[in-house]
Amino acid sequence: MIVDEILKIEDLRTHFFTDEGIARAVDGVSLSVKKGRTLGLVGESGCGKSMTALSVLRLVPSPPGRIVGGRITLAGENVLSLPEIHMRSVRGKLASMIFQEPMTSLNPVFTVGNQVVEAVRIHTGAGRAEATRTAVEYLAKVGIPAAHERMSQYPHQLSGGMKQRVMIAMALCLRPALLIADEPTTALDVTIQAGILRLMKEMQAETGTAILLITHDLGVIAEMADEVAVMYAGKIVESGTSEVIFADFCHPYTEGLFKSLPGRTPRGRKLYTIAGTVPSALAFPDACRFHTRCPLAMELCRTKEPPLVDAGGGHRCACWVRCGGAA
Amino acid sequence: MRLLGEVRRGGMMLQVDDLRMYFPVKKGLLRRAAGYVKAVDGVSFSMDKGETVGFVGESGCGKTTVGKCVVRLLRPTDGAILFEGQDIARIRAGKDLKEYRRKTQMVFQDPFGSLNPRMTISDIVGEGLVIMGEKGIEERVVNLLDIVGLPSEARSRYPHEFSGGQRQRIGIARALAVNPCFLVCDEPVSALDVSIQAQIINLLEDLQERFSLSYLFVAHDLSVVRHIADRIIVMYVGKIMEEAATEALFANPLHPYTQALFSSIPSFDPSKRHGLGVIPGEPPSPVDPPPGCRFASRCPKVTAKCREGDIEMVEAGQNHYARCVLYY
Repeated sequence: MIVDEILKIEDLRTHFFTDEGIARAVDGVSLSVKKGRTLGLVGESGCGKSMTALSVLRLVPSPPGRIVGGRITLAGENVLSLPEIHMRSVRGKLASMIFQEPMTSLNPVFTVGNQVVEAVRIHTGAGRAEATRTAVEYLAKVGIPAAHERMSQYPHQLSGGMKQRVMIAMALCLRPALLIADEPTTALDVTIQAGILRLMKEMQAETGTAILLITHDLGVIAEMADEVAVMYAGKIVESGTSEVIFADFCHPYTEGLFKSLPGRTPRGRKLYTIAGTVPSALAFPDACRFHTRCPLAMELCRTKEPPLVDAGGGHRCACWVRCGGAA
Repeated sequence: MRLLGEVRRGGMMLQVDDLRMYFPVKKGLLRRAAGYVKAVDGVSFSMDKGETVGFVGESGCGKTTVGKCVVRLLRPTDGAILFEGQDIARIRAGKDLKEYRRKTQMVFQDPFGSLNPRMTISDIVGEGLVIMGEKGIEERVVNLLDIVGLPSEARSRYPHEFSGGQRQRIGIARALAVNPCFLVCDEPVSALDVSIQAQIINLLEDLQERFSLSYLFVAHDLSVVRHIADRIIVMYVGKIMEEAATEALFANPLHPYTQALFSSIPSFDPSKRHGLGVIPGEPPSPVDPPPGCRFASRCPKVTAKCREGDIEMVEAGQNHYARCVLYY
């Protein structure tokens, strides 16, 4: 095993047992994130990218959700076999998470300072004075002006961008080995997004944190990720370095995502569309899960699931048509 | 392929002159107005028949408020809105406004919040027709659903049975019901996934062609606006900062704010990462904006002149306007 592999997920299966049936939200996902690197996990809503992230911290809503299989290794710890009581030290110290909505992730009845200090004290056992110093230091680091004064303000007194900065400060002040960012800038304007993305990069350069970045925005991925994994219907369909995925994508689903971007289509020309809609997790198709929407689908795609095949240079793709020749 | 020269095809449809929309900030026991949020503060522009004009800017810049004033979901504080020559800014609820609603409709951002969960699709799409006192509603609803690509069985179902993209189609069918010639689309695709977003953009373009519609298209996603709009208006804290034909604006943004806005857009090419531009500071409060240029406090090219008096919109290039002293 490579020493600097911070997160390794092998064949993760997170299913939801609902009245309507079993939703296989995450169904055999494997990925890894290395120290100081960023893995971008892309996909549309309902593809299981957020559930993959929540599985790492064992925060999958249960019931109805349950991790039914696989292995998650986080900084050498086997996360899935740890007793729940130890998870509290995993969350925050080994891996912390930033959520999409800074508005609902902060408690409205406590001051910002109170919340950051609390996190520091619980996880490091530091005294109030020391924890306060750490909190102010990190709030200043994430670019909050007059950090000391901001400590006594409530979340509603801060703008969306500022709240997301507070969340990042809170996530990073414990110096976690892994930062999980789930759509960290989706709710923000591009101008604010630019500041947050730049901040995440600077903090990564300084602390060597590995980042698992979850987003549906390919622009954010292009800007941030070293490696990319594309998810569809609970499975990874393609992965590789950003350069390879953006220039030489192979899977028809990845191709569809790129071709449907308005920025890549000349004006006056119709946008490419992927036929149909994202299937519900309760009714993912068998075999290749993309075959119901795929323009290239053939008989094999409907009967047998394509494996993730190495296409060279760490580029992997699961498609019978495009890279199934060997099978 | 639509060419620039063809844009101004149908003569003027809409002319907005010095539009202002102030919202009172109420304070104290008597709820007296302690000040006003100047959401739109002196906006003027015009639109031709068949044209698509994109409004872009950050949240709170007033772009949606402009759209809501134009369809008269809001009654503007001041200014004129000439629609086909008639000033509709001051008309009151009643016959005139009802007539106006036949011509202009709105498509909303949130496909979840903008459809009444207790109404069937048939009732939602047909509501405007009922209000207008039309006949043959059932037939027309089936026709409308077909136009936006939904099966006629959808009629008797409820909004929760549909996905986000399908709901946005329902919202579009509702807007089209009364046969309008002008639609305000307020972030119609920003709540949708990439693959669904493309379907809705294509649908809007098809409908424009088919029914000779004009669109006032509000969006914060610049790549979407770039694709769909003929002309773009950039707003910042209640004022228009720049206005130009789409390609001219992207090729040569003149206002320092537009330049800063564009530099914050990710590149979509990992081999050409340029480092995103970050605008220092925060926008001024729309309650009491400073005199002079509203971008002055954050502008890298600020001069002493920028903080004095009103900055006028000037023609800085052919049909390319900017509100900046650099082009005086």
